[in-house]
Parts: sequence; C-alpha cells; structure tokens
Amino acid sequence: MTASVRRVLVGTRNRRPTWPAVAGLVLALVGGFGPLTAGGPDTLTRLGAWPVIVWLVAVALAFDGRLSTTSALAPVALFGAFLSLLGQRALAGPGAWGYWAGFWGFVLASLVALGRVSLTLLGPQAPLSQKRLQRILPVAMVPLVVLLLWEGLVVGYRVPIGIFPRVSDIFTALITSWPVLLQDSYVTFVKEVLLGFAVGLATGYLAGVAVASSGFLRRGFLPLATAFGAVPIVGLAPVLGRAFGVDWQSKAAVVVIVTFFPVVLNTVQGLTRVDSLQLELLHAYAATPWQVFRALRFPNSLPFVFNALKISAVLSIVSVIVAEFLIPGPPNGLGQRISLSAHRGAFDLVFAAILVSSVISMLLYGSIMLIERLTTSWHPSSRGA
Amino acid sequence: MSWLRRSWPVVAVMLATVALGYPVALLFGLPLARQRMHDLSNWVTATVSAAPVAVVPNGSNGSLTFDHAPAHGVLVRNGAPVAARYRMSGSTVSLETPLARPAVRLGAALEGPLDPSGLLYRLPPGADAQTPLYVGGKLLRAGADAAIERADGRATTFTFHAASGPVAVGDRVLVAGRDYRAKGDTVTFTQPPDFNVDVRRITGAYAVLDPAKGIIALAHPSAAPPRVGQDEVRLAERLTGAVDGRNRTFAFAHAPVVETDSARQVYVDGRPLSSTPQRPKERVDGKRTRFTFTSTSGLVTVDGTLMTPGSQYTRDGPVVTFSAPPRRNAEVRQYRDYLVSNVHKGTILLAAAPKPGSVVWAAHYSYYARPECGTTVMQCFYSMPQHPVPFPNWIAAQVIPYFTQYPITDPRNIVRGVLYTTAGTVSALLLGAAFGVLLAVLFVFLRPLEQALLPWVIASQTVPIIALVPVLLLILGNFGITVQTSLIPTALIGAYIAFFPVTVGTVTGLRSVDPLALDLMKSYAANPFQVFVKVRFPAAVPFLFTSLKLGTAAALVGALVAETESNNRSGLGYDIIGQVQAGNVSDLWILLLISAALGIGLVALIGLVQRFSAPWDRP
Repeated sequence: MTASVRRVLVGTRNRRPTWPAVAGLVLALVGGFGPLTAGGPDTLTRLGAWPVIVWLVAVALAFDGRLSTTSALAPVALFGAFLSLLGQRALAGPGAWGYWAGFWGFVLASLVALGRVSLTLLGPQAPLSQKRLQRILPVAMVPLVVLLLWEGLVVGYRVPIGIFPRVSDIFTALITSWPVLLQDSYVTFVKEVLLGFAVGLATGYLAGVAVASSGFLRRGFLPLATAFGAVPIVGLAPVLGRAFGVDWQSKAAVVVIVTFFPVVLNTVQGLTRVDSLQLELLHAYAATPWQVFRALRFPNSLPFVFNALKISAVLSIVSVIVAEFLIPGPPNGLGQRISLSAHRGAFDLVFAAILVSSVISMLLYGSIMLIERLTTSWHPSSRGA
Repeated sequence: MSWLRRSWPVVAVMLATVALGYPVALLFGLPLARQRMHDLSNWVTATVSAAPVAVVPNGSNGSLTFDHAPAHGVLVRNGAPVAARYRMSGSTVSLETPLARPAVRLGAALEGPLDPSGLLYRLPPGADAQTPLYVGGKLLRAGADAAIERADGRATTFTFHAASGPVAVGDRVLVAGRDYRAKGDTVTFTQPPDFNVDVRRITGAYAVLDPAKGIIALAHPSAAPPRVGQDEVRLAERLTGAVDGRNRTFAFAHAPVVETDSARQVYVDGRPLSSTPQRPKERVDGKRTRFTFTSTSGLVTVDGTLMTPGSQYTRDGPVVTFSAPPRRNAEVRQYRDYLVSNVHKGTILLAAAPKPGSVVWAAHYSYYARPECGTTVMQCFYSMPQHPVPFPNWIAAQVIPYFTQYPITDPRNIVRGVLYTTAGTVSALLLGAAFGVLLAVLFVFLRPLEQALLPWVIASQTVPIIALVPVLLLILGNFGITVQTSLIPTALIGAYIAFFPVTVGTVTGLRSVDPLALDLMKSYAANPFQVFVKVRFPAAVPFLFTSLKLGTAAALVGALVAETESNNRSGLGYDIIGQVQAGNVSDLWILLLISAALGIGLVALIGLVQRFSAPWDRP
C-alpha cells in the first residue's frame, strides 16, 4: 500500500514532478482569478502581486524533485493559503469559487508536498540532515495544516463566532485573556492537580507497599482497585464535592483518587515482580526486609510507578475539568472557565482554555518523563528507548 | 468452596471499606455539626419581657403575683420604676408600702364574640398586642404556634410543633371536624388555605391573629368577654452592675443577647435608652475626618471598634472629628445612649454612667436560648438536613426507594436512565472502536502516515476532550441534532474519547506479530490482505480487547458528560446533574454506585465478548 501511494505522489524516479502537486497549484492559480465572494473582488486584485509570487515559487519548487526543495513547497503552499485567507477575512458573505479553489489548491499542494517528503526513499548514504528533515517536517506541518483547514473553512463559510471560533479568534482570546487564564491555570494546576497528585502518589505508594506485603490484601484489595478504574469520574465528583465543599479542595480530592488507584496497582506490581534470583541472593546475604526493600524492591518499583504517574497525569487534568463542570464553585479554574464561557457562547475563550490545559497536561507529562529518565536511567525500558 | 476461599478477602475488604464509611462520615460531619451548633444564627431566640400582674389584687397593698420571676426584678409602671418598697420571693412581690394607685385598672371589655364560634374578639382602640388581657381577674397568656410549612395555596396538610389547640387560618378560627381534621401535630384541611396566609395553632389562652385590626382569638369560649388592663404594674428585669456613678457596663440576666434587636427596650429610671446606630451624614471616603451625626452625644465606633474620646476623636456637638481618617467605606457609627459591648456575656456599655441610686432595667429584649439543632453535637449531626458524607446504612436505606420512586413507564425511572446511558456508551464504543481500528490499520499499512500523525494522536490524548462537550453539543444542535432526538451527540463525544486507546492498542497489536510468522507468510507468497487476516489481526486481538476495556470506561465518561451538559431529560448523567443541583447526597451516592456498577459491568461484558469471540486468547 505504501508503495502504490509512493508511486502516485513521488513517481517512479525520485526526480520527477508529479501531477498531484501541480494539479493543486493550478487549482490555486485558477482560484486567484476568481471572485472571493459572490460578486466580490478576486484574490489577485485584492492582494496584488503576492499570490502570483507565491504561486511562481511553489510551481518552481514542484518541478524540482529533491527532498529539500520539495519540503520547502509545503510551507510555501501553506503561506499561499494563508494569503488567500487574509484576502477573505474582511469580506462579507460566504466565499465564492475563487476563494475555495485557491484555498483547496494550496491545501492540496501542501499535503502532496508533505506526502512526497515522507515517502521519498532515502538511500543509506543520504545526509543526516535529510533524514532528520524527513522525520520532523511532516510531524511539524500536520498541526499547521489542520489549523489552516479549520480557519479556512470557518472563514469561508462565515461561521459566526458564537457557533465556532476561528483559530485566529482563539489566539486573540488567548492573548487578551492571558491574565485570567493564568489565574485559572494556577488554581487548576497548582492547587488542584499538583497537590492532589502529590497526596495521591504518597498515599498510593504507601498503600501499595502495604498491599504488596500482605497476601490477604493482595487478594482482597487488588480486584477492587482494578474495578475502580471503571468507575466514571462523573459519578464520583459530585459526591466528593459534597464531602469537601465546592472550592478547590474537592477537585484536589478527585485528583487524589484518580492518582491513587493506578499508583497502588503499579506499585504492587513493581514491588512483587522482582527477579527471584536477586531475591535469593539477598536472602543468602541474610538481608533484612528493609534492606531487601531498599536494595531491590524500591528501585524495581520505580519504573512501574512512573508508568502509573504518566497515566494519571493525563487522566487527572481531564478529571479535574470534569469535576469543575460538575461541582460549580467559585468561578475560577480552567474547567469552570470552559463551562461558563461555553454557556455564554464565548467559544474562543473555551478553546483558549482548552489549549492552555493541554499545554499544561503536556508539560506535566513531559516533566514526569524527564524525572523518570533522570531517576531510572538504569532500567532496560529507558535504555531501550 | 474454592470460589468462597478466593473471594472472601474481597468481601472482607469491601465490608471494611463500608465500615470505614462511619468514621469518615463523622470526620466530615462533626465539624459541620459543631459549626451549626456554635453559629448563633442557628439558635432559637427567646424574649424577656416585663410581666404584667397575673392576678388582679384587691387593694393597693399586700402582695402581687406574676407569671415569671426574673433574677433581679424591679416593679415598673408606664416605663418608670414604681416608688414603693417591696420584697421579692420567687414570682411573688410583697409590698411593704402601698402603691400610689391600684396595681392594674381593668378597662373596657373587648368587642365580641365576633363569630358563632365565640372565640374571636376585637381589641379596643389604643390597645395593642402587648396590652394585658384579663378574664375574671386572671391574666390571659398569649401563645401561638405557626405551621412549619408555608401556605402555598395548594397544600392541605400542615405540621405544627404543638400537638393540640384550635387551628386558626388568617384571622379566622376553624371548626375541627368540619374545616380540618387534626391527628397529633398534623392537620389536614378540607379546603387548602390561601397563598401566604398565616396558619397557626393557639397554644396559650389566646392568640393575636391580626395585630392591625386587633383581632384576637381565645383558646376556649369565655362566659364574660376579656378586659384590657391599664396603668398596670409590671415586673421587669434589672440589669446587674455597680451603680456608683462611674460604672457604665451593665449585664442582662440572659446571654448571648441578640445584638440587632430593634424591639429591645432598656431604661435608666424613667428614661428610655436608644441604641439605634446612627450613620454619619458624610461619605466615609478614607480622607475625611469630620463626620456629623444626629445626636450630640453618644458612643462612636469605627468598624465595630469603640473609639475613645479625646485621644481618637474630639466632639463638637453632633460633629465628631477623628485624629486619623477612617479607612474608605469603614462603618462609622454613633450610638446615642448605649451599645451591646459583649454579645456573649450579654453586657451593654452606656454612654453616660447612671447616677448613684438609679435603676437600669429592661422592659423587653431577646437572647439566644439554645441551638436549634439540639443540645449536643451528635444531635446536631443527626439533625443535619444534608450530610457531607452520609452513613452507609442511610445510603442503603435509600436504594430501594430510589429505584421504585417512579414506575418503569415514567421517563424519570432510573432503570430507563441506565439503559439510555448504556445505549449511548455502546454506540459510542462501537463508533470509536471502528474509527480507532480503521486508523490503526491505516497506520500499519501507511507507515509515513503514522510517523506524521501518531505523535499528534498521542498529544491529543492530553487535550481534555471532555471540555469540548459543551461546544460539540451546541454545534450539533445548530445542525438540528440534539440529544433529545438521537444518540448521535452522545455517540460522537464518547467515540472521540474512546478511539484513542483503541488506536494505540491496535497499532501495537498489529505490530506485535512474530517476525517468523511474517517470514512464513512471505514464503507462502501470501498477499498483504491474507497476511493481515491470518497473522496480524489474530495477534492484535488481545491488545484490541485490552484497549477496548480502556475505551469503554472512556466512552462511559463521555456519554455521561454529554448527558449532563445537554438539556435532555434522560440518562444517568442527567440524573447526576439533577441531584447535584438538588443536593440530595444519599441519591448522589446511589448514583455513584449505579454508575460504578455500570462501568464495571460494561468492562466485564467486554471480557465476556472476548472469551466467546476470541477463544484462542484467554487472559
């Protein structure tokens, strides 16, 4: 399958422009002469020489088959699409065929360029920079293409901001509401997630040690803890909200519970799945249980605990937001911001808050991975990666 | 038997968890109960009033009897202490010198009876609710008990604290048997009382039904109409404190006193004292230091703190000049005669020390008698309307009523809600799994696509997709798709959340093929489709089911959130958000248990499907 797609996009010989890229650019060119809106000006008259220049550069690149020039085609085509968007933004009424032809032409050209970059076969002698380009460029361009599609469709169809925001609206909201979002992030992340995370980790690890050291608890507690993974947070959050009040404490309690059970399960696994040979060796050395714990069980449990932390890092952000939906309290916190803004139709702020929370989530995930790499670098799982 | 041996630790841990519910409930509940008990706003208030003479005496000497005896009594008449010598023992006062006038003069008889029941009378002009009424020389004690429920125009059943006594609605006394039937403290009317009308039970000898019209109702018919007492001697409470010309602090017998009690009447000899807080005429803007009040003397406070004259302010008639400006919007107040200096001790501070030999007394004041919820913390705990964490047996007692409160035909029935949510979750799971598997297959066959997209699919996991639910519902609503009409929004939202684990798990599974098996297929010249069906797919099945179990939990959360955010009137999520707003904790716990059981059950169902559909993979 990969081979047949490669035949279409890259061609049989690597140095040949193929019809999809040119087709996209021709479509874009035709669109340049068409009207932007019904009866409105065309792209060329509105934006002057810019589309022509971009188009010429893109076509020139399309006729050259080398990886580095092909990879330059994608950003150039994207730039062209953004230009046609710029021409559209200030106009009234939905886009006409000129706009759509230009937009889809540039999108198609950039997608083809991306496909060509990732499908081009590189020989073993290819320079490292090209290999790196082939790996990084498609990954980096995907969000840009998605955002462009989003912006282009919303702008072209003139979707009102109260129904779906444009990407540019979201970034505007992000900049203008930055202090509010920062405050919300502080409440959500520092007060609720980090605190709950720390408490959940500490209690979960202690509970894990207790469960691992007792066969009774292992048989009685582990099945329940596993089943608890299926308990929806939607049912749990209101109950905790009643117990801990509507302020941040109840949301922190949600995080504690979300963190607690994965940590317990993984700690038990990590503490018990030790190499029996090593255990016997320690036994032969007449090691005390504490020494066995320090020298063998604790280090062995760390990768498992980090695994649990990575699971619950993502889960806790989602759960906190659900909890903030379900426990309406003082109007701070990202979940409350999302819920309140959605109900009053400020979707640009909703998406800005979602963006902030995913960045926080990624940072949390990334920092856990970093700590994991620093503390368990000896473990096969990190050495292999 | 082996099943029992295997499962008893689980049962034991579950029982221990349930038992742990009791201390946890106390841990969360007791501080609230204690707070409830200590918060004065939750206390029942009682009033102390100067009592009129209980029995009309024959002459102006001898002894007088009263209804109750204050700790320190003083005989007063018309707002001034009586100039007579007397001794008090209990509620009886023995006069040592005769009174100047008779202790009480019986005035006009009340107009009435006004209706056939013979209970309603009208007070003469000049008399009010405080005027004492006498029948046959004996004081009538007023007493009424308002119904606990409010009259909403529809309810016919009302509950009272008192279990007996005639029932009055508005300014009418109803006839038992014809108008209402009483059973203990519950009264059922044949006609619903009008909206917002007073529904009362007469517990004393009479009750004032309408103070504006002066309508009173007796508890029992009387042969002679009641007569008002005039110019009567009353037994008032004397405030304790040294009257030495310097002391300004005096104490009530009962504490804590109600600080904001506009009916409080305190006298020094015959002079009534005012403790109405006066606001300054000027705005407190943080810069101004001179403020004008209405009275030319009194106690000045800033934000409740007493200011000392001379050092903190100087006075020039009604104008007070502070040495430092009070902060912006500070509460600057002046009290003409006194202020309550300590609520809990029940002390007041007079503006001027009374002269030696004068009497400081109270004709009327209110104090906090006891906590409304009970006298012990446990009583207050049990009487809380909503517990932060209920006792497990309270929750258990609510389970059966929760399931049977609506018939199965009613859309509010919880079983229907569970079925609706199950339908939403399953459709979400099917949609999500189909999309997830499709994406995984695409990824496996088109490696560059995976390289470009998989990092973002993983990153999308960190996006709190749940947050998009309100947005998605609104957008779908714009296309005419609402949860009322279809499961589509629920399915889409659940699928969006559920597809990720399926994709990642299936990609891993399809890749986890034994290379030897692939080589074998190659040597058989199998085409990619055959390789997929015979090698890759079977290898991916265990991973697929593991990720389906993760996806089920995710899809359930998605479906529940979709239901909470939509205006639909069915589904477990709607019940949850309804109870969040209604605040019924026991029901919330039951919903938690139901949703937990649903989640566990659905995951177990996937396990069952796995056993039957992929028998080669026994976990």
